[in-house]
Amino acid sequence: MKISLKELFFIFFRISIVLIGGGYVLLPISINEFSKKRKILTQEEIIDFYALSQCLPGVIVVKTATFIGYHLRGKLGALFSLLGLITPPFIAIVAIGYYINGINPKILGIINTITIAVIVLVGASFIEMAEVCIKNLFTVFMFLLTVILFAFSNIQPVFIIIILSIFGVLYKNIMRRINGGKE
Amino acid sequence: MIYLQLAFEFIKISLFSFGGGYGTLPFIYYIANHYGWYSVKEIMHMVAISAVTPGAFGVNMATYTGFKTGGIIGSIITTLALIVPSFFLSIGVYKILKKYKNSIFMQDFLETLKAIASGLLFVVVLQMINQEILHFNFADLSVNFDIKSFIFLCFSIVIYFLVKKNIPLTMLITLIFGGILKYFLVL
Repeated sequence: MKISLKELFFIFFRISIVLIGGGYVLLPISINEFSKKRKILTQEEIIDFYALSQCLPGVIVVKTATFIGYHLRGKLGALFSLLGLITPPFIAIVAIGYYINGINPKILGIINTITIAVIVLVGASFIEMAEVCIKNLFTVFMFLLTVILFAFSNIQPVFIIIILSIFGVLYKNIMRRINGGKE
Repeated sequence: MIYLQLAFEFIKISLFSFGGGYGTLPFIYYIANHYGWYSVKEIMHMVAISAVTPGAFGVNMATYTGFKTGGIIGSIITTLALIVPSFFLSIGVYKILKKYKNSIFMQDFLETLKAIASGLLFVVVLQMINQEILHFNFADLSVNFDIKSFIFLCFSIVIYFLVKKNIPLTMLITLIFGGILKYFLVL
């Protein structure tokens, strides 16, 4: 099933509207839109895109949207996805900048309660992601190593990702040689 | 001239910031100190507004910084400067990925990467819970458990399953109830 450029634009337009408090709800909502509702991408593909986006520089949401748009409809697909993604914040920010000149702190405090909902949604998307990504002893080990390094050291995330992925690939390669070509 | 500088700075952010939207903050501070287009105090204001308006945090920060510095044209320039390098980078990576999709090396790499990505996401969840509910302090190992936020979290989890994992509805209902509670009980 093909998806139209207009549809891509409006899907990312909608996604963008609910991206409040950081881009973390991107994963569950794009799995919902592209995999569960429309069945044009598998959950695994979306998680691949998201994982790749995390290790490239720049804003994660922008890269994931480019991957999804490009995968579905080529360069134009990526372009329309990105346009859909940047339109709502553009309108909102310009409107705030022009007319409101800053939001009342009391209202900000109320809107900030959304962070609690964000915790629930990120937690849920972590569980969905872990179900796909953590499936054997090796991945459990890599997962724990990442958590320990990320939570208890001052090493920058980018270096953790680089060092651990080199380590992981080397480890798998060596184990395969020791076991004579088998896992 | 200021437009060129804006474009240059945000292309830099796009190519060298890691860790998603919040990874752009050190660069935003650098711009404030280096060019003086806005003050560090204004950044706090921009962060608060970017976090609660629709859209990804990093994109919002770029749009807002551009608007503060160069009006509408400024915000168009910063937004584009932030996303165009990522656009080409992602398409390049996608092509490489597709070409070597079946190689063992690429499969190992993706398997490792996804385990790492799960770990990063898990730490984000921990940090959020700590920041909103637990308030664990590394310096003196004290915990300041926020019971109100915890009850609110449980409430939000129940809502999430009640609306059958519908994300916008979960956010909306939590926001409405949270707003009412906060307005009448806390403030």
